[in-house]
Amino acid sequence: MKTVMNMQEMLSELYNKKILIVDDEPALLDMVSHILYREGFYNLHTAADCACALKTAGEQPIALYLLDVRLPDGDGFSLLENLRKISRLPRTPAIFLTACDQSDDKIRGLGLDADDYIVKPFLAEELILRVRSVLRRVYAIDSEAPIFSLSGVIVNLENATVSRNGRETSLTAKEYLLLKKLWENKNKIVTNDALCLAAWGEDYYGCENTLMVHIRRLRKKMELCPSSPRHLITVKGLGYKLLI
Amino acid sequence: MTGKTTLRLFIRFTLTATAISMILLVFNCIGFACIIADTTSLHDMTPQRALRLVSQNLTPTQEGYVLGDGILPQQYWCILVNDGGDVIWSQNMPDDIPGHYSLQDMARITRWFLNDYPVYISLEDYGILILGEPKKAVGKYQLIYYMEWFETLPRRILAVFLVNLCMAVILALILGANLYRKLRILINGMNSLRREKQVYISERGIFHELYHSINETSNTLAHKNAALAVRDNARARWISGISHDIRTPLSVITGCSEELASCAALSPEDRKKAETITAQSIKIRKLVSDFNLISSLEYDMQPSRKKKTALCPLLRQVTADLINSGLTAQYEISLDLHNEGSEIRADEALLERALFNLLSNSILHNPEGCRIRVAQYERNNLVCIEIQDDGCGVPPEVLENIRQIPRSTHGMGLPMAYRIIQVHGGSFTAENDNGFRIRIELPKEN
Repeated sequence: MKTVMNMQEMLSELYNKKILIVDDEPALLDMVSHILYREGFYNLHTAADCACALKTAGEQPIALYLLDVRLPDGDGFSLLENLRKISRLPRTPAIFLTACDQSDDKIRGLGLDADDYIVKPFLAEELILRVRSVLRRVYAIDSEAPIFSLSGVIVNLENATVSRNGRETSLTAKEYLLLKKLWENKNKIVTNDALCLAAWGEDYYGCENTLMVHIRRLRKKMELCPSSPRHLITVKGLGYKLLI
Repeated sequence: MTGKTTLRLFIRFTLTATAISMILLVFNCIGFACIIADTTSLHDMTPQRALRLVSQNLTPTQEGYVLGDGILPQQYWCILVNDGGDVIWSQNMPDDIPGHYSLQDMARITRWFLNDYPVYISLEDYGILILGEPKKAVGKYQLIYYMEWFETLPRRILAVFLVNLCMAVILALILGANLYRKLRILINGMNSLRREKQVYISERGIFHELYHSINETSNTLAHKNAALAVRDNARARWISGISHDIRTPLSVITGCSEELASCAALSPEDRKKAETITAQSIKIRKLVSDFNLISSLEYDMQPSRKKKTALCPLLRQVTADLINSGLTAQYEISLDLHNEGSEIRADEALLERALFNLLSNSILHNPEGCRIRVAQYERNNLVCIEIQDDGCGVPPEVLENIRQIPRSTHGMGLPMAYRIIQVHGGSFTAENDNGFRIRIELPKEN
C-alpha cells in the first residue's frame, strides 16, 4: 500500500514539473502542448522566440526545456546556454526538437549537454516517452520498477535479484548490466557487441568468451532448464534475445 | 601513359633523324666521288683525244709529215720530235717552244709542263708526239699511293661511316632529349587538364604558344568548376533547407492526425482515416530524409564525419535490426565473418544505412522469401563485404541505373548504397547470379 502511495506521489511530482516549449510555429506549439496536456502534464508554458522564452523562464523555475533548434531571433543552442545562466535550478534538462537530418552529431559535437533530441516530425508516443524518461532520469523519479516474471521466476532489476520458489539469488554487477540491456530491448536481438559495450564499456573488444560465461550463469539463475533456455535465447552469430 | 607516348615520340624522332643524316652522307659521298672522278668531261675534245687523233692521222710523205686540216683543234699545238731530239713536224707551235730537246728536257716535260704549257706525250714508231694546251688551261697533280692504302681503303671507309653514324645518333639524341623534355611538359599539362587539375607551365621555348593555351584552358576549367561547385552547393543547401522546412508542418500534421485517431468523439471509420494520415506523414518523413541524403551525397556535401569503424559489429547490428524490425520466417540471414578485427574509415551511420538498404533490398525483391548470406573477408588491404541472396534477382534496369540519380524516391535503396560506398572510396559491384549478389570493397584502415 505504501508503495502505491509513493508511486502516485512520484507520478504527480513528475506531471507537476513545469515544461517550457519554444518553437516559432504556433501550430506546432499547440500540438506539442496538447499532446503533453492530454498525457497529464499541466504546467506547460510556450514561447515563440528566444526573448519570450527568456522572459518566461525568468518568471518561474522551469523543470524541462523543449527547444526548437532554429528560432527567429537566434538558435536553440545559444538559447539553452542563456536559459541555464538565468535559471535558479542547478541544471535544467533540455530536449531539442530539430528538423535537421543529422542532428545527432551536431548536438553531441556542440557539447551542449542536451539531454535528448527529437527529429521532426515525431509521433506523440515518442515525445511523451522521451519527456518522461528525461524527467525521471534528471529528477530521479523512478516509478517503473522493472520487475518481471519468466515462467514463474521473478526477476527484480531494482534490487538485482532473481526469486525462484521463494528463494532469492543476487545478480552480479555484470549480470545485472547484461540483463538490464536485454530487458530494455526485450523480445529483440541484442548483438554481442551491444551487450559487451553495456557491460564492459568502450574497450569491450575480445569479451565475447566472457560474455558467454556470464550468459551461462544468468541462465542458471533464471531458466528452469538452463541447457534448453526458453527466455534467454542465443541467436547464432549475432547475439541474444530475452523472450518475455 | 604519358611516359610511353613521349618515349615513343623520342625514339621515332631519333631514328628518323639518324636515318636522314645517314642517307645524306651516302648520297653526298657518291656525288662527291662522281665530281672528282670526272676531270675532263667539260670539253668534247680532251687533250688525250686530240693527241690520239693526231697520232692516227699524221702521215709521212716525201716532204715530211702531213696532218689533214681541222684535225687538230684550234686551241692546241702539236710537235713531233725524232730520236735525235729535233722537232721534225709541228703545227700551231708557239714561238717560245724550243726546236731541240735533250734527254733531260724530255724527262722534265714527260708529265708536266713545257714552258708553262701543259703538255701530253704520245710515243710513236717515228718519234715522240707532244701536244700542248694554252698556258694555265689545266692544273696537274701527281697522286702516289702505297698498295697498303688500297688494301685498308674499305676498312677506312667503314670507319668513317661508323664515326658519322655515331655522330648522327649522338646529335639526334641531344636534340631529341631536348624535344622530349618540352613534349613531356606539354603532355603532362594535357593530362593534368584531362584530370581537371590546375596547371601552370612556364611559357618559354618553342611550344610557348601551346603552353599558353594549356594555362588558359586550365584557368577556364578552374573557374568553371568553381562556378559549378557554387551552384551545386547552393542547390544542395536549398534542398536541405526545403527538407528542413517541410518537417515542422509535417510534425503538426502527424500530431494532429494522431490526436484525431485517438479521439473518442469520432467514428471508428474517421479514426481509421486519421491513422492513415499519420502513417502517410511518417512515410513523407522518410522520403524527405532520403531525398536530402541523396542530394547531399550527389553534391559531395557530406561533412567528413568518418572515423575508425569496426565492420563486424556493424554487420551484426544491421542484421539484428533487420530481424528485430519483424522479419518473417521465410527469410533467413546468415553471417560469415572472417576477420573479426577488420576496421575501415567510415561514417558509421551512413554505412549502416547503406548495408541496411542492401539487406532490405533482398527482402523487398523476394516476397516469397529467400536466404541471405552476408560474408566479410580481407584481401589485398581491402575489406570485402558480400551480400548474396538465393532469390529471383533484380530486374536488369535496376542494375543499369545503380549509378544514376534515382528518378523518383521509389527504388532509391541501391543507388543510395552505391553512393555511400563511393563516398567511402570503395567499389561496388552488383550482379544477378543465382539470386542477387553485391560485392563491396573498402580500403582497410591500418
